Amino acid sequence: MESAKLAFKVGRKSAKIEQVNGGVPVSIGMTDLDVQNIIDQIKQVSDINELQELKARFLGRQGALTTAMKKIREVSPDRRKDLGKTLNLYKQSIEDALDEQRRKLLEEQRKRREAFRRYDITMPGASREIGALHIISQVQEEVQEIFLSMGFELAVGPEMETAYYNFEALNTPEWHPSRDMHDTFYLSNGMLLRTHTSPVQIRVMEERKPPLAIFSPGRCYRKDTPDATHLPMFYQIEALYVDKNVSVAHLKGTLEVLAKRLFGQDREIRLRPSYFPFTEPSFEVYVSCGICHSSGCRSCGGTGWLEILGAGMVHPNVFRSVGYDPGEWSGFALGMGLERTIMLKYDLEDIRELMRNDRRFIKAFRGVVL
Amino acid sequence: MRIPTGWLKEFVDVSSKTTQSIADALSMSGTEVNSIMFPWEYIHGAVSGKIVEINDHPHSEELRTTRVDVGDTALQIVTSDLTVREGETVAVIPSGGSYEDLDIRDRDIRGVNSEGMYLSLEELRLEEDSTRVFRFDGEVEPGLDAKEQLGFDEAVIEVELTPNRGDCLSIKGIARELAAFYGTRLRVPDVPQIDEEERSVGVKIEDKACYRYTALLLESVEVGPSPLWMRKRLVEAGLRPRNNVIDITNYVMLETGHPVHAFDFGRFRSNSILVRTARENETLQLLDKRQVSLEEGDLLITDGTEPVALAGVMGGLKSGIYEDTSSILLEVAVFDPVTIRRTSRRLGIKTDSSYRFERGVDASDSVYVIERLADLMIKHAGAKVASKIEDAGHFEEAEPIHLRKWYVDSVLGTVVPIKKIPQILDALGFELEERGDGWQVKSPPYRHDIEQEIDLVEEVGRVFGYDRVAAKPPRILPIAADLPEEVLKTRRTRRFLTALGYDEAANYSFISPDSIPGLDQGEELVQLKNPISIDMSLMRPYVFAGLLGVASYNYRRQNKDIRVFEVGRTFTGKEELHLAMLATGRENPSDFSDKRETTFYTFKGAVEAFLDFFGASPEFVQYELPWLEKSCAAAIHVEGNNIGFLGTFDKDFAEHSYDIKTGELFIAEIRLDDLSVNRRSDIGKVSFSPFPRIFRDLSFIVPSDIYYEDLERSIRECAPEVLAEVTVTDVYRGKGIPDGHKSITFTLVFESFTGTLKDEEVSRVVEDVVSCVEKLGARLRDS
Ligand SMILES: [Zn+2]
Repeated sequence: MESAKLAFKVGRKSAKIEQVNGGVPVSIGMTDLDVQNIIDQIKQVSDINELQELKARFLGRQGALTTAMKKIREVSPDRRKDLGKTLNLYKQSIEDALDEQRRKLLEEQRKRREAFRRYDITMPGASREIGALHIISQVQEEVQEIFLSMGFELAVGPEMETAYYNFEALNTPEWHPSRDMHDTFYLSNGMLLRTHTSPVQIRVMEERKPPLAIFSPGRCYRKDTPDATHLPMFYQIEALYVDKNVSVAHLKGTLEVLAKRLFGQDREIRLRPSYFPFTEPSFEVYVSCGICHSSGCRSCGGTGWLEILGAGMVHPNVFRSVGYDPGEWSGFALGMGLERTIMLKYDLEDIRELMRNDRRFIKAFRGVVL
Repeated sequence: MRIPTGWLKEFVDVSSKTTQSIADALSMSGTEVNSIMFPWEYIHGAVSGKIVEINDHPHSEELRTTRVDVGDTALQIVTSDLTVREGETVAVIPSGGSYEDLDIRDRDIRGVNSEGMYLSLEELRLEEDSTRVFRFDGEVEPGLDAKEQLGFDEAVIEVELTPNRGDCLSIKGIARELAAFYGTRLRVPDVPQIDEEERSVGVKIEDKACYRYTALLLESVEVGPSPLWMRKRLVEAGLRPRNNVIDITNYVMLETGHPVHAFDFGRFRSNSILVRTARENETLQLLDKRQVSLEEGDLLITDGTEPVALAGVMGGLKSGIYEDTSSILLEVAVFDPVTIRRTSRRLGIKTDSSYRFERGVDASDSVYVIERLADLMIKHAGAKVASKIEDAGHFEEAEPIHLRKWYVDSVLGTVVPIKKIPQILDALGFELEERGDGWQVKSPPYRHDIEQEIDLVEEVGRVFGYDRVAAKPPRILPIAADLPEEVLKTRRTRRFLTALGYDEAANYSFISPDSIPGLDQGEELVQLKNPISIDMSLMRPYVFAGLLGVASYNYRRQNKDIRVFEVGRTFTGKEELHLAMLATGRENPSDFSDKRETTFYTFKGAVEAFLDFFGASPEFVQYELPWLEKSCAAAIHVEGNNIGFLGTFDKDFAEHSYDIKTGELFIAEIRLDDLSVNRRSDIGKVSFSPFPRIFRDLSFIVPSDIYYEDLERSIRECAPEVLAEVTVTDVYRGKGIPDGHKSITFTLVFESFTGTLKDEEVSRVVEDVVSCVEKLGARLRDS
């Protein structure tokens, strides 16, 4: 044991105090105190715990110095004062040596720690991958949020529909040429796949009395062979507002909010007269080009405006088909395709990319909205 | 439809407008402009030239060497047209110009240098096969831009018309729109009074689907080429010139919007017209040589004996116009749009004629149109009038509609100046009479889309201009409605699964019937009756079908660590909301310290976490499905309902149909309709013991065929209330464990609500647990 080597012995040598200066052995009664030796020992300690042990051994309650202090009473009173002074001095020297050694050891420890780089901070973290939402979902929720914030209520309806809800109730009789605008998929169960989300309008209006403001997102289907700008399935969001004295001005007000929040506060909208059987007047809605701000550039085909959606004032025949009095109620409807919005916002050239589900494509859009 | 601007300018004075501003005017008043095109833009550098010298070619009798004056210089050009004469004015592309993809350069033609090319009518696309070069009609100074001299530099505006505007399917119709927009007048070509003959060709209408039938017989017709200016306009409009008779009928159709027809009257069996519905089993060979079977309801033009045309769709082959035709019967008719549409759709025959009839034509000006036809036939086909104008049937004037001024303002959301309204409507051909709070308005006979007051408001609005309506925010009242459950569930599902590291996919709602094995048992499958292809012919009964395709697509692109989900509807007898998940490859590919591959347990863990998020306590039951490996398939039961499944997708099928040869594909599908939107709301007050918990680990060696579920149930059943939790902390097979066995380590957590548990108490319970579990064939493992 290390302690066996200690030059600190009690009761072996006769008490002999010759000097009061540090470094000179002191004897009190039966106790020897070789301070120089003690300090040397302290200086040789290489372990911080061992240092702690030494401290206890010398300065602790049973420690040599403490013992010597206690024996001071056995010394003749005339020497007591000097001896006391000496012992205090020794005590101080030991404490200093302990402190110094401790500092030295800590410093060495730190140096060692610093020399060994446990972590390479440039290594990639052991990451938890967060999944990416499909861009269609993100934009769908973004648009939903805009309509919800304007006070529209979200409504959903079936994708397998009847011709009545998809066409007839929407002022589109069976043999009208406007059916050419909707190449329809028919199903083995006698239903068809809705060609727009407009049937939800009819279903809600049949159930409820005006005023109402609803919007309806969902999948729609038209028999288009997939190419760079067409898919046989697409996502639409349609909004309907029915109240007293609703006008084109209110439609424009709503479209402005939508366009500014979706495309940017500096964007403007423009209505171009068009035709849909279920609205009159009907519009194609354009948003000013974000690159040239409607002065015309290559990305907008020189026109300055980009078509974003269709809209119009609800046709009185539609109100009649759900039992609303068109003399009392008026309203507007608007419908937008999410794919088109995505193509415009994110400069997507081939719409089919949306249905390929390449992991790299999905990941590329992580967090763009949500 | 293509609108040649040169032609348009005959009908409306837009001489001060640029083509672009005309296009914008059309566009902003409701006629969508697709493009502005120049049909002869494939010719560059063509100039007029005067032939000044003609010589034989030194090495060929089939060629001539010519010198042609092109203004500043004279070029030597070799031609195969042996009829060229000195002094003729021709069109030349000198070297340096181009024709289609061909750059015109000096060229050696059998030993003679040729410094350009002459244009023929074939190259100008006005004739099928030209043997001669094109000559200008009169004197044209040499060296001028040839296209400009010929008017071949005029723009053509391509418009796309909405189905309600049949009245715009003509030059006249588009001109009328522009006249209204610019506030000018429409100009219609004058037609000289024709001298009718005594002779009468009987016209009888037997079916009310024919509203009006006007006919005129012409004789001594000479079939030949039509004049160049007419051919040019037909080409601009996108039609191919044929012969003068056919070209004139097409020309008048484009000009007036009336589909008209010319029969070879000499090929009629009886000399009259009878319009009737088809009889059962009747057939007719059409001009395009197609033989069609007719049904009752198809409207026919007959010569009194046999059909000569499928009314409004196409003429018959037999009575068509041929080179030897000399007497022709002109037809200007008006038919019921629905009748024409039904026939056209059923037979799949869509023509310029049927297209116009479906959208409605003007029934009021039939006589004018037949006179216009006759006039052109007289002038350009040598025709002579041989009968009087037959005019059977009638047309009805529209009932007037009352238009209220305040209604216009209230729909448009702006105050339209009171004078503006009659001004706009008048320019569009409406007749107005002031009455009460507005006007009595009579629509012109070509506006079949005007049925009620709102239609008039739209007319006013589109010409007035929507840019003049200021935006106003709507006054929508707040609502208390909840979001639909489908939307809430979809949203929660998306949030949770992306947080779990799953990417979201979007797949078509229709799948290939071959995408899942054994897809016929007891499913109410919904097929598409008219799919785009067999691969998209079945409405998906499960969402996971699409995810298999996603896995395959990414696998083939070396993305083999896949975790993907989709939430969406399925289609069987009803529409349901499903979640499908798929995982394969590394559990955590972006974590280098986690080398785990996805296993059934990690995948099931994700499914359980999801169900727990929805507050569901699932039970997993051994199950069999044709697309899952038998050894690894489980049904998910929640509150007694089977709400889905999970397991390993059939490995052979994955390899053969999806090209996934390595790794296991784990799939799950959960019917979200069966889950609650939110976590259970009946959790009650949350409480837990304030006293310390005691943990004990117990390892058992158990035969492999004992289900974990039975072990856990046994532990729970024999332990008193102080047993708070049982979890598995390790499963081990291998060294030290006998074959057919595994070691499972449970961590038991003990807890009391009444005081600190004593060691002895817990030890007693543990002893009980051990003896219970050992009854199942397990054995406590020596620690
Ligand atoms: Zn631009």
